[in-house]
Amino acid sequence: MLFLLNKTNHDAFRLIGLLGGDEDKAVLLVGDGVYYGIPSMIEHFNHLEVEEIYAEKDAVEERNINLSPKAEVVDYDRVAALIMDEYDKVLSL
Amino acid sequence: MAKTLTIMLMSGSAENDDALFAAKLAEAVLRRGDKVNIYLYGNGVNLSKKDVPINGDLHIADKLLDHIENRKAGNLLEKITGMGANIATCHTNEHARGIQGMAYLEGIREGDIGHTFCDFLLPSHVFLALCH
Repeated sequence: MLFLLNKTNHDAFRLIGLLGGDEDKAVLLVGDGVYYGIPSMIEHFNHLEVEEIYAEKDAVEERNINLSPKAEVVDYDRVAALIMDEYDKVLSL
Repeated sequence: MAKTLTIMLMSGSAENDDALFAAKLAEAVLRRGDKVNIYLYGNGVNLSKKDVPINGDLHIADKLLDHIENRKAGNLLEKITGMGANIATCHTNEHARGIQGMAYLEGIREGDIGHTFCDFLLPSHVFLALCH
């Protein structure tokens, strides 16, 4: 299950846990959501057993943020593949 | 077989990155040979309109104007309709914002939630709702 986060939201982690349950989970960070990819924030995904974290390249560069090495930077072609092919379910939060 | 992505876009002009993300994602999906529908809802309907020309000095510094013009989602929305994207609005949301009578960008049409959005959604493989 792929969660698409386009903003920071106080409820995001709770919703990922609630909606993801025991399923394999991944997160795609776009827009302001890439702030979840900085080292101090990305650790919050650990207890949710999120296996993969992706961050959209333009959003990262435009914000000039220090992205954690745990996040994989992806371009739009890869974003399209993630959303259309690689996950059975995609949830935009 | 081509898959279909439908995006309900509820963020409008210059609010956040949702519109540009939706348009760039749509472009990448169309390049793969898949189909894209974008339903403009809420403040997203503002994206459907042609610019109203202004004569004379804009009183905006050139550098700022370049930044603004390069991030106008409307330009990219017109491009992706040319690539085959279906883009429609919720006419009721347009009316609520006083813009229903304004001209649409090339390839964007008036729609409604009961018919247009359902026609977009029901055959889709992936649905994204983008808002703040």
